[in-house]
Amino acid sequence: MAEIIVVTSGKGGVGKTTTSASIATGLAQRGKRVAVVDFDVGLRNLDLIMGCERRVVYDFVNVIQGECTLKQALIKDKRHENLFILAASQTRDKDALTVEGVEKVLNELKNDFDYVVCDSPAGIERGAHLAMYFADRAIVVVNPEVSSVRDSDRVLGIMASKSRRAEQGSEGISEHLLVTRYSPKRVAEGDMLSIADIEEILGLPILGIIPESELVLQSSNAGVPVILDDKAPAGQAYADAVARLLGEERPMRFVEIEKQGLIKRLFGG
Amino acid sequence: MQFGALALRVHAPDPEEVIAVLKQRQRQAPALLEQAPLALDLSPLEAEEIDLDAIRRLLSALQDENIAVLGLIDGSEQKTVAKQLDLPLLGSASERRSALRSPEKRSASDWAPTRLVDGQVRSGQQIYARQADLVIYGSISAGAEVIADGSIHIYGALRGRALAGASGLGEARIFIQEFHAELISVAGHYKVLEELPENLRGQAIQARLENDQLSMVTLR
Ligand SMILES: Nc1ncnc2c1ncn2[C@@H]1O[C@H](COP(=O)(O)OP(=O)(O)OP(=O)(O)O)[C@@H](O)[C@H]1O
Ligand SMILES: [Mg+2]
Repeated sequence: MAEIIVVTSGKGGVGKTTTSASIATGLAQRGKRVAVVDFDVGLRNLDLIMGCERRVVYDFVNVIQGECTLKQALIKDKRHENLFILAASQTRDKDALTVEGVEKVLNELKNDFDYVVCDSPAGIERGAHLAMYFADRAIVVVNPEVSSVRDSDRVLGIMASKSRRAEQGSEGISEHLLVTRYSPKRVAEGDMLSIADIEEILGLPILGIIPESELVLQSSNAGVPVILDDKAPAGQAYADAVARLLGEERPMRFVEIEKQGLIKRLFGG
Repeated sequence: MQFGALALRVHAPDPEEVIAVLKQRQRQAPALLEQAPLALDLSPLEAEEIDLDAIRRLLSALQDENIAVLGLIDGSEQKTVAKQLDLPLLGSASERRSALRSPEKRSASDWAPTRLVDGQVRSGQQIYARQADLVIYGSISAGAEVIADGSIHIYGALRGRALAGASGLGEARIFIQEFHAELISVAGHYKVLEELPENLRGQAIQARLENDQLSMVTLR
């Protein structure tokens, strides 16, 4: 049975899709069977970043509406045979996703895969809610700025009360923070929140810190998830995050500022 | 700066209408609504006009507008409504202006055990301890709100709002381990903390009423 991981944030444009693509690819590199699902109906993006946009025939909404089978809609990644993409619909509107429909598709995926990664749309509306509703684990993507931290806090509050796990009173979704677009220099200059600030305000463990890097945009444009660029610091940082997700310990890299204190705090020194 | 709650008299049961009126007011006096929490006054409505679902929709619409609703103003029809919506019942405006309700008024029978909350209260969440004290073992985020008819104890940081004595109990107090609050209130006496006083920031604090004035002092 697969574990369902939602990648969410509240605020838009913080790096959810970038993260979904790299985490899913990273898990596949580690030999896991992975499906990555785009919940951003109307603003299909994941297929571009995964480099499979010209191979989308059927999408998530088609499957929900019974217009094709799940098998027909899953696109096999061109680099990893154990990684599949389920694209969002670009033409339908958000109401095409229903709780029952999403549940049916996720249940089917759970039987076939080790991990199902759900790329959430921004906001706290229907699409974002459906993306998180069935999750076992959440990666909350946050940028080092006050508004992003505030929105993540709101999303965490909603997950704690309105996920299926919360409604059933079972153990809650396990939550992780992933700080992206982190620039040690701008933190030092006081333009950005520090890791310690973010941790303190949100009170959650940090899964990874992805540095700000132009290579991220370049690799997205090329349809290659940045984790495949093992020379890019952002790619290495995503690989570390995947390792931590699998329970391995890795020191935080690319956080020159207050490095010592941070590692001590995160790993008990 | 100190305010009482603003009373919002609801004349129409339709949430859209109320929001439209509020938005118009907000344009006239933007700062007002941002800072002071609202007390809903349903007394202009006939009993049969009070529709729980419509009021729920109004509350969530207000929340979407980032307007905090503190409670319902006490009136003949409101007791059951307040209970059904789990909102505090506030003294009527005139009652609040005169003497605060005395502790004798809370009979032991309807005073509930202390409400205990473990973990962080996050932005957008509201916790209300009806007829009880409230203990939070965790921090309260900016944009979150904790309310009690009794006293409030916070073992963590308060970055959002805390309102004690919500139904008028003037003896209620708030204890805060780490003070960064946006707003605190005891028995309807508010302080909006646009700027945190330097000497209180991050400190352990007690807030209480002294001679009808909200006082905040560091714990020793
Ligand atoms: N670490 C990074 N360094 C530099 N740019 C980044 C980084 N991560 C993401 N970006 C850029 O930020 C932009 C938004 O990224 P992305 O589309 O992944 O965000 P999103 O949260 O999915 O957005 P939306 O809310 O619209 O779905 C893109 O242009 C992406 O290339
Ligand atoms: Mg996206």
